[in-house]
Formats: sequence, C-alpha cells, structure tokens
Amino acid sequence: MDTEPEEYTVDKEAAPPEFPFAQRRPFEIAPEYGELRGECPVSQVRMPTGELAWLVTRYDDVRTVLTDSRVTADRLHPGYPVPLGFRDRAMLQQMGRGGIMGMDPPEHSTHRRLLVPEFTVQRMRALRPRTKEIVEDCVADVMAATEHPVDLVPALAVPVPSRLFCELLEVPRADHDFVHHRTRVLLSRDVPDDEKRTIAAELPRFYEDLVARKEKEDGDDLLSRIMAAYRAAGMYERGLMARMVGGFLVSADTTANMIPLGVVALMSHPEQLALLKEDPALAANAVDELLRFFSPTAEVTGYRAATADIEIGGAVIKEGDGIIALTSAANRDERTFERPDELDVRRPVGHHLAFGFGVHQCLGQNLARMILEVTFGTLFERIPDLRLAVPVAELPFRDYAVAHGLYELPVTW
Amino acid sequence: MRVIADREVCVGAGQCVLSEPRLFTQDATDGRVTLLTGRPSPEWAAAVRVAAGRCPARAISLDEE
Repeated sequence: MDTEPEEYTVDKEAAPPEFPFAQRRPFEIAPEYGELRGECPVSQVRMPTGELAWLVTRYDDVRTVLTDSRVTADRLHPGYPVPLGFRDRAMLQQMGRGGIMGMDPPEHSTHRRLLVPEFTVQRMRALRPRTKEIVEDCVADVMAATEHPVDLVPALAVPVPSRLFCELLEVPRADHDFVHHRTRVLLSRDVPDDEKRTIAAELPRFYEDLVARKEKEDGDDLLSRIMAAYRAAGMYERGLMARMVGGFLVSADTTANMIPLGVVALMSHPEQLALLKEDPALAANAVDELLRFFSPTAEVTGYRAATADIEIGGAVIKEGDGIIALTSAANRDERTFERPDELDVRRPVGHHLAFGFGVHQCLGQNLARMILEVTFGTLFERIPDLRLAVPVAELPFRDYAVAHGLYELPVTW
Repeated sequence: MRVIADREVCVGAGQCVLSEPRLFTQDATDGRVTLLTGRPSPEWAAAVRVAAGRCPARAISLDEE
C-alpha cells in the first residue's frame, strides 16, 4: 500500500469537492468518481450540510472499510456523515440510531441472528412460484392495456414488490392500498412535497399499528415469526419491530427502483438481452450484473465513522471522521472488473458490492435477486418485442433520493 | 484440504450458497453456513476461494494441508 502519494498533499490544499457528484448520463456514474478512484482513492468531500467526509472509491478499500472493526455504523456518532436527504445533524439525531443498521457487533450480531433464518437463499427461492404469479398478473394487465405507451413504473415496478411484501407480512387487505399508495407517492416526482411529508408522518403509526395487531394474533407470517424469535430471546420491543417493518418497506422501494433500471438497460443493450433469451441459465448472473452496473443505493449507504485513526489507500482517516464507502465507484473499479463501464451479463460478478459488504450486507438481498430475476424473465418472455416509447435520453431519471431510479418508463411493443 | 466455516462470525448473507451450492448451504433453523462436505477433494480449492472471497463476514477459509 502507498503511504504518502503526492496527490493527497495537492488535494488537501484544494477545496474538497461537493458530494454527491451529479450523474449526467443515465447509465454512467459521475466521471469524478472514476478520477478519484485513479488518483485520490481516499479523499475528502464536502457534504450538503457543509461537513467533511472521507470518500472511499476503490473496490479493495471499500471492502476493507466495511469489514474494519475500527469503524462504527452508529448514526448517532458525532462523526457519522449526515446522509443525503437529511437536512442537518439534528434531524438525523431526532431519527435515532436507525434500528439494527446502526448497531455494531456484538450487539448487531445478536439481532441479525434472529432475522437471518427468514431470509436464507432457500427460503427466498421458495417464494418464487408466488412471485411468478404476481408478476404474471401484472404483465397480463400491461398486455391488456388499450392505450400505448404503457408506463411500467405503476404497472409493474411498484406493485410487484409491494404486493409480495404485503403477502409476506400478511398486511391486512384493508391496508394494502395504503402500502401501494405510500410506495407510489414516495417514488413519484409529481407528488408535491407536502403530500410526501403527510405520508411520511403517517408511516411510523402505520408500522406500530401493524405490529400491535400482530401481537394479538398468533400468525405464521414472516413478521410474526421474527416477533416470536425476539420474544424467545427476551429482546422483544414493539418500537424496534415497527422500525423493521419500515426497513422492509424501504427495501421494497429499492427493488421497485431497480426494476425499471434493469428493463431499460436490457432494452438498450439488445445483444445482452439476446444472450439472456438464448440461455436462461444466465438470468441470475444478469441480475447481479445489473445490480453492479447501477448500484442504485450507493450514495445513501456505506456511511461509517472512524473510532480510531485508520490508514487506508495512502490516507489517514482520523478518529471521529466520517467515511462513505462508495460501492457504486467500487463496482466500476477496473482493478476488479474488466471493462467496468460495459454491461456484460456473462462476466463473473457475484462479488459485486451493490448490497454492501461486511456484517451489514443487505439482509433481503436474496429476496431482491429472486424478485428481479422473475420480473425480468417474465416480462421479456411475455412481451419479447418490448421497446421504449421514448429515447433513453428523454427518460426521467432520478439522480438520487432513497435510490437512483426512473420516474416513468413508457414502453410499447 | 479442509474448509473452515466459522459459524460464530457468519451473518447469514448466503453468498457462499450462491457461489457454490454443492459445498455450502444455510442451516434451516439458524440461517448460518453449514458445510455439505468439510474435506472436499483438491479440485474444489478454486471454488472455495471464490466463495471465501464473497463472504461479507470473512467466515470461510481454506486449509490446504
């Protein structure tokens, strides 16, 4: 490892660039991340709040940070970078530590162990037939549309994860509309901020009510089983369960974001889509490649604070400093992935970091993978000549919010 | 050649199962890594290394002795 390359001296004198850099083209991450990765792989950036944080952009360094016991995921640590979307540190502190995502081992391990049995690869695969039915149902509605173009965001991307989520948690029928509405509002561009705020304000109450109802039933759904595991461990707490429900919902949103991105990418790379149609065994790898390619949640995840001085990539991160391990930049690192800016559904890609790394690696990753695989497979099987109704450049891309995504995806065939 | 899976550090992400389902599975009760064979023949070494590299908790290692 280099110790004191000159670039850092130079960089320290220049004003730190502002994070995040604008994504100027839909399929490309901001070119600045590539430049930093080459010349200044651990460098300071200025957050929208004005505070500084260390941005880590190389694959190996990102993995090192995310497995280092000298960093904390505690959002209440004074050095933890205020995430995008939060007005200031006071707002972050008001939101609290952030459930188990804000815990460190060994406390984190105790909680995670109660959750993992529900999210194993085998468990998620068992949900495949039901997921397939939901997707078939949505695609049938798309095909029955009398007017073209059809917008796949409300017709497919939002309802697939949202319906599956409601079924998994056995959300009462009467509340399904609220869940769908919530997802649509939070992911929509046209909804005014007030309406978003109103929904956001209703959410904690909705989660609490759902958990409170489950307490009275003796259900065998995913949430009831998790609640039972917490009770058995003597760790049950309604507020924590409610925050977990919120976490599940947010992960349904990230899947909802990834569906249109993946569909556009496959339509825009017909040779890749042809490979997939020729060899359905590539489907799982293709999903991982699309995740690597877009890394849609990178700018709002991988936040940590240093609890000791850490030397990494030739820089010294001081105790108390904030760190962002930027998985999108790492997933385009040419040291790890050949031709990183090309979409290649055949490349070995299982080691990508779109779900993070270390003990906090996404708990629902195998659920997301399964939903995406079924959705892409079914859509292109049922509508093989699906095409965009507008040029890619005219699609309304969202640079950052909870996750990168598309507001609309008008298609025809 | 011996594969070592540290169930104490395993976080149940399932990467090893995705990487090499012929060697690794997740215990149905606790979701943690379980070896389908602890002493695979030497030709599995590369596959074990790939799975070990994907493990987010660094729970898998290979003893080639």
